[in-house]
Formats: sequence, C-alpha cells, structure tokens
Amino acid sequence: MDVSVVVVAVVVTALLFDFTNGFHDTANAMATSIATRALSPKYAVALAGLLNIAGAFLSVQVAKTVSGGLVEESKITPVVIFGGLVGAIVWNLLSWLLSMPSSSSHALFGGLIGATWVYAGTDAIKFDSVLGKVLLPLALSPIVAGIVALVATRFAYRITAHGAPDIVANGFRRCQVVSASLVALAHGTNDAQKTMGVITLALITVNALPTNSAPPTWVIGACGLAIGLGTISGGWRIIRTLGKQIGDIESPQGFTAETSSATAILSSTSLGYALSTTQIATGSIFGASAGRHPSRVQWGVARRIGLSWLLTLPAAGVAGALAGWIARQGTVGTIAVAAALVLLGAGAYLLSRRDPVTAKNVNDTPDRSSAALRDGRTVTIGTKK
Amino acid sequence: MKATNWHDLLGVFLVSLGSAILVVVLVSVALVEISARREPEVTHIHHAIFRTRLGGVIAAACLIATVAIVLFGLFQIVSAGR
Repeated sequence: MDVSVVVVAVVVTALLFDFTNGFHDTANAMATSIATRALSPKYAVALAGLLNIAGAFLSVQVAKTVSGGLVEESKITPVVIFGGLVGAIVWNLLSWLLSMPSSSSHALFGGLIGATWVYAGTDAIKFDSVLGKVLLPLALSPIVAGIVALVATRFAYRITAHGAPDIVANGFRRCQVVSASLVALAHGTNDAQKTMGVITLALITVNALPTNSAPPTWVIGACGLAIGLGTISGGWRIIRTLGKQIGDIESPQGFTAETSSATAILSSTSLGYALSTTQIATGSIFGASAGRHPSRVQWGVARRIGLSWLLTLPAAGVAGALAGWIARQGTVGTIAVAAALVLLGAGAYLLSRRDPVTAKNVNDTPDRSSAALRDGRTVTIGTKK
Repeated sequence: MKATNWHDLLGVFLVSLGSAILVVVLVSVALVEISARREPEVTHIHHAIFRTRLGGVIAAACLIATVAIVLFGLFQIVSAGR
C-alpha cells in the first residue's frame, strides 16, 4: 500500500475526528450559557467555534504530549493511527446519538491503544504513561472540577445574598459570556492539540518529521479550523443534556461552572496534561448544581453519564482494534473501513432525525416522567422528596 | 513521558480552586456593590453619596482585578506553549 495515501487518509480522518470533537464538545463551553439564556443558541455556538479556532493557535504543549508518550512511535504505522481515529469517531457518533457528553479525548486514546495493541502487541503501549498522564487525570478531572464548582457556587450565593436579585442575575448572565468564551478558548487550546498530536505522530512514523517534533503550522491551522467548524455546527443533543437535564441552572451557577471549567482546563494545559474538557465541564455543572440545590441534581443522569465514561475507553479500543485490523489488510481494507465509517455516520444522522434537537428546542425541558420511563426508571432523588 | 506526578496534579487542583474562587468572589462582590449603588442602605445623604461612590470604586476594582486574572491566565498559556 502506498504510504503517502495512508498518511493522507490519516490526516483526513484526523480532521474528521476533530470535527466530531467540535460538535460533541460545544456543550462544554456553551450549555449553561444557552440554558440561562445568557446567549442565544446560534450566537453561542458561533462564538464558541471562532474561539476554538483561536485557541488552537495558543499552545502546542498537549500536542507534544500526545505524540510523544502513549505508544512506541517506532513500532506503529499510519494504518494503526487510522484505525485508532476510526474507533474514536465511532464512539463519538454513538455517544452523540445517545446525547451523552463522553470524552472525545478518552475515545481517541482508547482507539489508538486498541489499534496499537492489535498491530504491535502490548509492548508498544506505554501503560505507565497511559495511567499517569491520561487515565488518572481523566478520572480525577470531574471530581476536581466538581469540588471547585461546588465551593465557588456556595461563595457566589452567600456573597450575593445581599445584592439586588435582578442586578445579580443580569450581572452573572453578562459575566457568563466571558466565562463561556474562556472555556471555548481553553477547549481550542486543549482538544485541537490532541488531533495535532495524532497527525504529527503519523508524519513522524513515515519520517516526514523528526522524532519529537512540534506540529507544523499547517497542521495547527487545519486542526483549529476543523474543530471550529464542528463546534459551529452545534451539538444540540449534548447541549440539552448538560444544560437542562442535570439541574435547574441559574446564571450564578452557570458562571461558577464555566469559571471552574476554564481554570481547570487552562491550568492543566499549562502543565501539559491531556485533561478531558468534557469531564471537567460535566463535573463543574454537577458541582455548581449541587452547590445550590443538591436535592435537585439529577443523579440518574449522572449514573448514565458515568457509565458512558466507563465504556468509552474499551468501546473505542475495540472499534479501533477492529478498524486497524481490517485496514492493515491493504488498500481494500482501508477503503472498506472508510466506507463503513461513512455509512455509520449517515445512519447516526438519520437516527438522530427521529428525535431532532435543534437550536429551536434545545432549551425545552424534557418531560422527566417520560424520560424516566425511557431511561429505565432513572427517577430523580430530589423530586421525590 | 514522566510517570504519575501527584505534585503537578495537586498543583492543577489548587490553582483551579484558588483562581476560580477568587474570580467568583470578585465578581460577586462587584455585583453586590453595584446593587448598593442603586439602593443605598444608609439614610444620611452624605453617607449615601460616600457609600455610593465607595461601592462604585470597589466594584470597578473587583472587575479590573478579574480582568487582570483572566489576562494573566491567558498569558501563562501562551508563554508555556511557545
């Protein structure tokens, strides 16, 4: 198989993954701002998209981490990377269809690990790096963000109890525009870099770049554009889950959740950690909700989200392993995987049209009783009391 | 790549906690002071004017400090990435 063709396939697939990452993660920055009506839905996603593009140019710290640490670069090929990306995209589409805010980073790492495992065996995977730099931070990030948001929310409500309610609500709503923008910018600095890292890794494996290279400028630009366009397309299903199904988010909670997310993402990025913005944002929203009305938090939704997080790495790993195994059979295998991916994407889109969520109905509060029936009796603890 | 660095992870937590709370407190105080400007609680006219002006100054200072923190955070990211 022509190596250059595979590298082009990897680059295209990586940018496609970045696009899915964008619409999957729009909710991280904008869900609470849309829920509190600090921003209109369409304006919010447009703003997030532009800031994602800008954020991609701010730092390449995480990109260096992803390409230089998870797997033995000398033992893998672009076909493996292609398989890993396909695994990640498959999980992103499935979790989007189910309206679950799962981690695109986790999916990417799972897909890469699965494809590498099949192709080069366990020796090619640096398990200590996976644990120390990926799994552990990913497990801790929602807890950290949740605690930060919970404490910050309590401070916000305690201090503003002496203020005029309308001024406080409007003030926080205006500040939400800034805090949401910061999260979108942070998302660009963090998540766009992961795809930059993957593309850089592919270029390194075919000696187009020296080992431990930073991403070239064209890679940074393309990744920023892909994630920005994905964000602008809007992931309304997940926005509704985070904005309307976790708790009754008020503007102070929206502000504290977004501020907590932004500080956690930015501080982790500056230290080179590949933290999941989805898990941070979700943890922050739960923390902010619990900081005001713990009894109103939809813990049933938390359980479903937690389950999807547990499944992300192994599910993307299996899909990545399968895709990598088929693709390594040759050009026909690669084409077959690409065709299957296109069909899967089309199928996911068609299925989503049965219960469409758009900018017009994203703020509709779902009927919780029917939701409980649909979700297997995930009735909220709070509303029972 | 280095193994688990609990020191760095603790740093992420503490920086996140400290900066988030600081920003939230500053914004909250600013909003309370802006509220006080509209409905001063003191009855004496000179005290009311003084309280209103003082509230405005405090609110402005808090918001300026918040902007400075945000800009510092962005500067840290840009400088760390280059």
